[in-house]
Amino acid sequence: MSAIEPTHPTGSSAEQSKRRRWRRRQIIATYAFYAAVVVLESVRAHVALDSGARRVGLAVFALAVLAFLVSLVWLVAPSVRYGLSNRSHRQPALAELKALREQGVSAKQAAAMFNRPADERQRAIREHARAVAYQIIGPAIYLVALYLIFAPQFFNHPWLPSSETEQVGLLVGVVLLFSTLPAAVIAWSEPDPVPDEAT
Amino acid sequence: MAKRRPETKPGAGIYNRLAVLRADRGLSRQQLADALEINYQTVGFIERGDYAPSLELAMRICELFDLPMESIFSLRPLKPLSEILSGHSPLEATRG
Repeated sequence: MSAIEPTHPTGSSAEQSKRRRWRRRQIIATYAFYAAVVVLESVRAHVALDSGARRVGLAVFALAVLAFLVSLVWLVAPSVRYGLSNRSHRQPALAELKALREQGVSAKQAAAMFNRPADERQRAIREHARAVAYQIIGPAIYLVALYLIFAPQFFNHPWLPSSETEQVGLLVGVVLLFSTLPAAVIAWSEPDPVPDEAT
Repeated sequence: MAKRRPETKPGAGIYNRLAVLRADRGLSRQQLADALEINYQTVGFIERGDYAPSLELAMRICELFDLPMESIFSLRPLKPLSEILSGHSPLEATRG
């Protein structure tokens, strides 16, 4: 079969492409950075450190928070790239805008042309991602709620999150999961975008 | 342990000639996407078999190219157009 006639599914979605592997590492890193922040906060609360070690600990904590925030921004970005939003936006090339202006198209009309409702594929992946995320978030919320209600009564280990700050940290984790998991599912499972072609 | 299904998304198993038809008409992915009112990435995903269009979108594609459904989409691998036009496989011809 000729190389220019892809008349059958090429199965690129089944391939573990390098870019997808990198995306998956980024997702794992985001949640790992969150876990690191929680653990470091726990260390800070329960371990007596001298001033030098405390300064180093604070620097590591700040770096972990920064790494977490940067990776979080990256994690939310796939929602824009892969259509988690309700709109399908494309940045027009300058030449396209110039041509439209010459045809008498106003800036508002031009913006509307490049900002249309998400198409059926984008809606399908969005719904799939939300369904998968819902299946994970539901049990996670129950587990955290049960832990926060019962753990302080039955376990008395000093390293268990018991202070208000640590409990808030757990709730932040649930909120984080709730707000980022659909985007993470999309970034985890979607094949690489089709490269732009020279037209 | 149960083996995971290799592909559960809509897309696997539908063969199409969209890429060759688009090239034949001299359309870019963006131009085809604009004509169909979809994202240009969706055109690419259909072409490389990562997404199977809905019946409505498939019919709009057929209408745009003015071709019957079976000429563009199939449940079985499609013969290359060059083979249909010449009546023999180009690989057989090179083998002599």
